Amino acid sequence: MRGTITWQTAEDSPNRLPELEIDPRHTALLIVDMQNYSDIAQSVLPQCQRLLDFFRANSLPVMHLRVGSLLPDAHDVHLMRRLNWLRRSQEEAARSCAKGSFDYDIVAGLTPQRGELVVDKNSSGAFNSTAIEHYLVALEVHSLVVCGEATSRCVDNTARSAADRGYNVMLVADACADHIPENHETTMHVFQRAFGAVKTTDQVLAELSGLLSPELALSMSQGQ
Amino acid sequence: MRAKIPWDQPRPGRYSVAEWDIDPQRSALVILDMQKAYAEPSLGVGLMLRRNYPAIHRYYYSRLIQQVIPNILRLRDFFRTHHLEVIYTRMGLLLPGGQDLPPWSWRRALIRYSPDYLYPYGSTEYDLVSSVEPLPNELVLDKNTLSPFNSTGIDQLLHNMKVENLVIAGLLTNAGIESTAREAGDRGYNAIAVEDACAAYHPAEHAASLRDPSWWVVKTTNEVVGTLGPLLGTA
Repeated sequence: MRGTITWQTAEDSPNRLPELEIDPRHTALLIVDMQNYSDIAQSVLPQCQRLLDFFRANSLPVMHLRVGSLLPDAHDVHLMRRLNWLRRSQEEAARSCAKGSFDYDIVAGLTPQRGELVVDKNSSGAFNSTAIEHYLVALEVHSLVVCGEATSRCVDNTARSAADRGYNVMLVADACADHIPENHETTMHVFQRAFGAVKTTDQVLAELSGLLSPELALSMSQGQ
Repeated sequence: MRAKIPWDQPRPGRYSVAEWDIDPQRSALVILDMQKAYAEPSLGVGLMLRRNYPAIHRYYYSRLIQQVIPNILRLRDFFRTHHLEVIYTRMGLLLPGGQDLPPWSWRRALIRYSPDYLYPYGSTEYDLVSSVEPLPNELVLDKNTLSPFNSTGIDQLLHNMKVENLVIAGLLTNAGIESTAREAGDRGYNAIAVEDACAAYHPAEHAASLRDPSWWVVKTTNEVVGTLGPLLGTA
């Protein structure tokens, strides 16, 4: 089952790791904050759905993250975040995104199934306000495929911390969305140099299929 | 003792906190990874950069010598003068063979592929550079990750020392500095990265890292000293 995949491919980057051996059976999908409050989630919904279908079809673990306050009045959230939660600009009023509200729910199309962990966080990165690492240890997860929104905020914070803690993180560029395209590019650039792999949905699915069923992948590559 | 200080820069299309109420006495300076491996031009990554990436070597070490180290020392003098905490981190392998990293981890693979990435505790490269030698009563945290929040008890230590404001300097901007600032800010600390007291391998990466921070802010050494100084009074 174990096999080698491409990892950090930028040749002008010191300390890169060109390829890495991973075990697809110890790989989980982490879907970040694809919730109804978001005005950008729909732009990457099809890619997230493809990844989710693949992980479900192969009985690999799936975890869903949700961001917002745990309590209706948000007094569980640190002060600075409470003041500007979900406010995009100075002109816009802060919106409530509390657990239990429609805004907080995961978007239609990615609804969690029984057997999939849903992790509620009142911070940007999952490692800063949840017991996610406890679950990753329990599920024997070594590698993570990460998608969702917003690329430079909750996705970056979660993926960085996971990679820094030693997890093998594949960030799926076309399955992550950001309000600011430049921020999306910065996250991908830095991530693939210092933290892990940046891949497309197609690449992730092709590489993991290849590791899960080598005979099938070989016959596909030979056009049989 | 609490006072409002200028906080976030206004940014188009973003909500920003213009002023923030802090207790200046509850500040700590975190000096990240100023080790010989990463800050001594002829040791550690310095040898690798000189051999394989000479342009990076020139840019990076001249910035360290001309700007980063002098500013770190200025900040440290300021924190010591005002009896504020100074905390150092060191990054590397805690066990010589890297057994402190999971066997399946990319980091374990990287230390086999690129031996100048992490140095073991006890090696010359692992030591702090002599110019930032700590005093006996200053914390030194050993970690095998970029951010101290991921492999040390820093959260509890800061809680014990009643630190709320983190002033972050050292190496590298887009790796250790940005990760630490992101995690500190996300956990509710008032996190300030000091732009002229840190460095990355490329000026563009340094700038990109600091361009649009969330839940943390970017300030210069002058701004930190100039803002906190009057609030702390003469020591």
